[in-house]
Amino acid sequence: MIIPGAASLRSTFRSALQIEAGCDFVSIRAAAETVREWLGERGVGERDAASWELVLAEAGNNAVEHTTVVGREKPVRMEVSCSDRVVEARVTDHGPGFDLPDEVALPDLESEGGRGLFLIQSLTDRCEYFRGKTGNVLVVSRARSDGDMVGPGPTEEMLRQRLAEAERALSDMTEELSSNYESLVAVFRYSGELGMSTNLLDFSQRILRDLMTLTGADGLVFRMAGSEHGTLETFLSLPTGGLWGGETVSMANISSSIEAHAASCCEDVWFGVERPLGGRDPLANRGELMTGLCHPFFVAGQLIGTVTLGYTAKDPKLTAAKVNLLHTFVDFLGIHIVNARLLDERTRARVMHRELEIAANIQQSLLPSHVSVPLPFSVAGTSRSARHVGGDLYDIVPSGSEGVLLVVADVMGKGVPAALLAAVFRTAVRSMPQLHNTPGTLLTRLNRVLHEDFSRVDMFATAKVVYLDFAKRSLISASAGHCPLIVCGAGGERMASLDESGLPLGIELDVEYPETRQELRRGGAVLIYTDGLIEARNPAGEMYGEDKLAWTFQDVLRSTTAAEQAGDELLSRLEDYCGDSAASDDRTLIILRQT
Amino acid sequence: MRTLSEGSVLRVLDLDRLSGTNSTHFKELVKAQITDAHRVVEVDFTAVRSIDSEGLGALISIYKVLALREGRVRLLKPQAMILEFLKLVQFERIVDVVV
Repeated sequence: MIIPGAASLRSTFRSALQIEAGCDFVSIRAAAETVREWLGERGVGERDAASWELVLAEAGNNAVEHTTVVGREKPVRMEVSCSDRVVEARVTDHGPGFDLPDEVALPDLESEGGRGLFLIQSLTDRCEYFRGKTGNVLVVSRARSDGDMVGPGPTEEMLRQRLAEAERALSDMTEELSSNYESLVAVFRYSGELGMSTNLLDFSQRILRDLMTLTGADGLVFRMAGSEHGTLETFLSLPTGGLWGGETVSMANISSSIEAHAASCCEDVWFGVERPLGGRDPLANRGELMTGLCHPFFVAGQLIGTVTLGYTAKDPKLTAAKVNLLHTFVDFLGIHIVNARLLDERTRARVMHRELEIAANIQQSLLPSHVSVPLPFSVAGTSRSARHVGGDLYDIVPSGSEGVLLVVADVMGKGVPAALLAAVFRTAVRSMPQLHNTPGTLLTRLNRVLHEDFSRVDMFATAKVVYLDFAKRSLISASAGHCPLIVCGAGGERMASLDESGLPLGIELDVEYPETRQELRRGGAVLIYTDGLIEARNPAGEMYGEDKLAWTFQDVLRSTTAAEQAGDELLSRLEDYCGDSAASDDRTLIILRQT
Repeated sequence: MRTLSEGSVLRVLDLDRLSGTNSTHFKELVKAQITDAHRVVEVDFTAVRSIDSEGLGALISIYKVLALREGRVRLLKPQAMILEFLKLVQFERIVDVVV
């Protein structure tokens, strides 16, 4: 933990001092003074100790002056080791770093700055600076000159103390070596499972049980970040049915929950005698676990959860090696969780894709594939969805030998909801054959029948309904807010653009739809379409438009004879116009021709 | 830290360190007290236990102010280690060090 304004002493093992100071002048000075005192306690002469205070203050001040905004949030670490002959120090900073000249010259006498590096180099025997990805390290050392000056050598008590420190260092190193071995074994054991097993509970139980054993913890709780990241939900508590229960922790309770605090601050949080669990902390509910450490873990910057180790002993000796084990194991757990989630999402996406393919096939099967009408007429329809399924619909329903009903509709929106309502619409049209020769009445009736269904989901549909009377060669049409009908003569010339007014279906309950009658002359043709055709855009973003569609239709009529051929050619030219621009809307049309 | 004006001498007393933590304060305080009458700024270094390049920079800043009026900076009785540091950066060439 870094305490702004004060240096924090982390450990003294291996006869060395390690200090993490906040990245500010006051903390640096406090740390340098601590080093001076510490060296004094180890028999280093006052002059040498004062020199080291100056060297470390200069190094630390350099780190503070030249750091970045991000580096300012990180500590400046000072590590000092002292033997009978030499003192060595390492200062780690998180700034951009610099190139240390082989020999730093003394600046101009009247210069107010620039003496820091000169002092460091002058007061040490060795001075090197290494730039790294995670930090830069200044390494300085100097032979002790105090041996002759401080009189007699170290006392028996000092030697005893040094021996004890050396034994402790050896013990720590052994444990660290052992934990590194255990970490390595775990890496090999669990890495084989990454990306394969999706049983999170089973994997979590195995890896966290191993972690408990290796760290000698009495309890462990693993809480996973909720989907909204507002909570930490208990995923696993060990031992099963043990001391810690299954409460959900709210991330808002930073002050009352160690776990919420750790997750919010993105750093390990210790608890124990010096920092007991609060009365409202979910970890304190059972009370038996006195000491421990909560470790929040992240993958790609995203909080995955927290793992907390607990001990019943007041001083469980949760060493740095055990903390390393916790970090290694939990990192693996985090990667496994993310892999499992990705696998799950991929499976769901595959299932969804397959279901949409099936839906698209069903929707296509609802469209009439080929409808025969008596000569000299020919009729064809086609529909291309912007997605797998869409809200466009066309239907061609013969009324015996008297005529044929042509319907093009566009349900607001795209995707599955629009497709479902389009299917309902088609069924409703086919259930009213007695109204097929009166399109206006048919629309009024359809609106009344479908109004409730559309209103329930806040949707609506536009539709164009055209009835062709074979004998009279006349078209009767009505429109529910749909695109105008384009009618062409024998030479392909545009005869009319019939735009009957009428509200879309599903807006109001009682709506009258006026009908328009138009004679279809010999050699003439009719185009019924959805707005996906006129709103198609080229790569420059220009819309196709009704006039261009009418012009293309006329041109296509001159170069083709059958309705089906004309439809394919029309859509082909439209696609040429759009180029690589993805279709943003469904495109549906019916062409009726009289030869 | 406090200052005392005695004729042409401005004394700086009760200084226990001159480093990055107090050098700005030291510099601003002394500069604010210097008047036209002052020709010498005398800093009592007896109790100064630590100094660094920031502190040296502050002394040079004051030296420059006095140099304009042909004045001097005088450091009184620095401890042995401090004296060594001052010699290392050749400070005795621009300030008077009274041992």
